Amino acid sequence: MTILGEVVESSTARVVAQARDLYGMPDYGSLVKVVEEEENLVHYGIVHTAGTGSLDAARRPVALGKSEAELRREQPQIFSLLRSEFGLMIIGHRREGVYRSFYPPRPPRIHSFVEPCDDAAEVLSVGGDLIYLRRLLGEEGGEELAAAAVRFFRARHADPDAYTVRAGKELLRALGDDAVHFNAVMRRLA
Amino acid sequence: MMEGHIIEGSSAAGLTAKLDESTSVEDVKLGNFAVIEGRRHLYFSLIADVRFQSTHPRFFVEAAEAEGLTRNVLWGTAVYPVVALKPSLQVDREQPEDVRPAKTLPEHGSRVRDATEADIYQIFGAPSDTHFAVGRPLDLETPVCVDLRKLVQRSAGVFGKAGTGKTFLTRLLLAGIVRSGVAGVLVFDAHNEYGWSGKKEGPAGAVQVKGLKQLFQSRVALFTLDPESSRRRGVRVDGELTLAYRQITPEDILLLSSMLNLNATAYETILAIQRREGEDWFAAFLRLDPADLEEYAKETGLHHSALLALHRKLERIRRLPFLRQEVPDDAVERIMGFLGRGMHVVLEFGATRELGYMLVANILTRRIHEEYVRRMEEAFATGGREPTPLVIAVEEAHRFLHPSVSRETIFGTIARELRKYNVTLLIVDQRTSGIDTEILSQVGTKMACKLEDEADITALLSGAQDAPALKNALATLDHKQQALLFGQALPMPVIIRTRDYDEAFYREVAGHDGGPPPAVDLFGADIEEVVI
Repeated sequence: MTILGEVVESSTARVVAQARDLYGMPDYGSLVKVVEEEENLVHYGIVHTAGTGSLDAARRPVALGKSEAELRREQPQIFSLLRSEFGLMIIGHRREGVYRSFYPPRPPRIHSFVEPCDDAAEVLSVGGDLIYLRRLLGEEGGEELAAAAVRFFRARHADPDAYTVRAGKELLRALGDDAVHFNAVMRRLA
Repeated sequence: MMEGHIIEGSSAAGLTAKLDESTSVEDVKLGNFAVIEGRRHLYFSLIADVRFQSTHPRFFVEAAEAEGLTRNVLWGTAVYPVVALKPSLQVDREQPEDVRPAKTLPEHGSRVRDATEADIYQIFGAPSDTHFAVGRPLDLETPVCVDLRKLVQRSAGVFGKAGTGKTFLTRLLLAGIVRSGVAGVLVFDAHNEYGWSGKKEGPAGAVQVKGLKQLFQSRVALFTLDPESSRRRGVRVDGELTLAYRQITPEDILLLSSMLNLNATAYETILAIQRREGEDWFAAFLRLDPADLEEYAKETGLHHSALLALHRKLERIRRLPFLRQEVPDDAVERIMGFLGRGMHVVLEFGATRELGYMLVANILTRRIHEEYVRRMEEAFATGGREPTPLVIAVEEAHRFLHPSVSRETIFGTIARELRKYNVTLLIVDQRTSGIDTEILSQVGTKMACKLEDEADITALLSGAQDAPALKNALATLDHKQQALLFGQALPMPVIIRTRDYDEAFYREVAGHDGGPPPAVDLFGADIEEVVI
C-alpha cells in the first residue's frame, strides 16, 4: 500500500494531510482516497492545495544562501524541521462497493492514511460522475482546480476527448450563461 | 434519424423540441412527419420549422467562433437545433385505431422521433375502394391515401405553377374517383389531357400516357367539341357535342365580358334583347343586318352605338364551330344520360380557344346543376334516393371564379353551396390569387404543387389552420412530382411524392382483367348493360 500522507485536520468538506515524505505531495487536481476499513468506507477527495513549511508554526525557516544539496550535506537536521501538507476537497465516498458523489456520513479520522487512486476502474467510477465539477467550481480559483481535475481524469480515460467534451457540457450547465468562466476552464483544457 | 425531446411550447403556439446530439440538423427536413411520444398518446405533427436556439444569446457567437473541443462542448448544449411542431392528430396508445385531432399536449420532455411506416399507415389508412393512394411521404415508402368520399363532399382544388405536375396529380385523382365509384366525374378537358391520352415528362422527353377513356374504356364517355382535332390526334371519341344558339343565356355572355371586351351596360342591353326576342334571342339578334340596327334601336329604345358594338362582339361567339341553329339532340340530356347510367364524361375541346371553352363549360354546368337541384329536391320531397355525387373538373378555374365574375357564374354557385346538391368542383389552376378568396375558403381539400408567388401562397392558405407551418412546408416542395395536401380528405397535412402514372398504376385502377368493374347506379334506376 502506497501512503501519501496522514490526516491531520478533518471536516465534512475538507481534509488536510501531512505528506509522508518532505515534498511528497500528490499532484494538484489529482484524486486521492482515505480508506477506513473497519467502517467499510472510502473517502474520495481532489487535491486542491499543497505546501511546505516549518513544523513549528512559530519558527519560520531562514534563508541560508546554500543549495539544497549543500545543506543536506552540511546540516541535514534542518530538513527534519520541515513538513509538507496538502488539502483535499471531499467529492464523494464509497460504501459497500457503491460510489456516491456526495459527502460521506462523517469525515475521516485523524491519522488515517491518504492513498493515491490508481485503479483504473475506481478512477473511472469517480470521474464518470461529473457532478464533482460543481463542487470544485464553487472554490475561489475554481476554474483552475476544475481544469486540473478534468486533466487528471481524462488522462486515465479511454477516450480523453470525449471525456473533455462531456465535462465541458457539465461545466456549461453549472455555469449557466457565464461564458467568461467557461472559457477560462476550457483554455486550461486545450 | 431524428431524435429529440419537447422542451417548451403551448397549444396555441405549438411545441419546440430540442434535437439530440446524435441527430444531424442537416438531416431534418421541413414537412416531414414527427411523432411525439407522450405518456398515454402519440401525437403526429409536420415539422414546421427548424432553427437554432441557445441558452444565452452570446453563445451563438462563442460557439460559431470556437474551435476544437470547445466547439464540440458548446454545440448541442449552449447552442442546439430545435424543431417547431404543431401536433395535428393524437392517438391513444391503448387504442391505436382511435385517431383524432390533437386536443391535448404531450407531457413536457416527451420524446420526439421521425414517423415510421407504421405511423403513416395508422394515420392515412390502408388503400381501399374509397381510400386512394396518391403518393408517398418524402422519406418513407408507405402509401398516403386520400379519403375519396370526403374529397367529393366539398369542392377540391389542385394548384401549382405550370409544369409542376398539377395535371398529373389531377389525372391520378380522377382515375381514383372513377375506379372507386364514389362519384360521377365530368371533366372539362381544356387542353386534351385527361380523356384519351396525356403527356408525361420523362427522362427521355415527353411520353404518352393513358387517359381516362383508355383506362376505363366503356365506363367513360369521351366527347369532343372539335372532331377535326380529335381525328388528327387519333382519338376515338364517343360523340361530337354541339350546342344550339338558344342554349346561350345572358349570364353566359356576362362571364365572357372581359374576353369580349364588353362594357358595363352590355349586360342590360342583352337582357332587353332577350325580353323582346325570347329564348332564341342570340340567333335572332345576330340575324339582324348591322344596317337594320338603327331601326331596332328606335323600336327598343336601346342605344344604336351600343347595339352595333354588341352585334360585332357577339359575332365572335356565333362563329364558334360547335354552335348551331339546330342541333340533333340536347347535349346536356346526352351527358346526363351517361352520368345517370353510372358513367363518367370527359369533354375534350381540341383546338377550341378559351372563349369556346368557357361558354360550353358554363352552359353545360348550369344545366347539369339545375338537373341535380331538381333531382335532389325530388328525392327530398319523396324520400327517394339522392343522385350519386358529381365532381366537375374544371381547368383554368380562375376564369370562372375570379372575384369579378364568381358571383354570376354557376361555378361560383356550386363552390359556395358546398354539398347541398351533390355537385362539387375539382378546381385546377395555376394561380390561386386569381380565384375569389371566399370560394377558396370553401374548398375542402387543397392539393398544391410548387407555388412561388407570394399572393398565390397567401390565397391558398387563407383560412387554413397552421398557415405559417404550411407555408414553410410549401416552400420546400420540389418543382416536380411533389405536392402539399391538406384539408377535409386528409387527417392531417402531408407532403407527398406523387405516385408514378405507369403500367402498374394502369393495372391497379383498371382491375386485373382490364374489364370494367360493375357500373354504379347514379339515379337509382336499374342498370342492365352499359352500352354507348
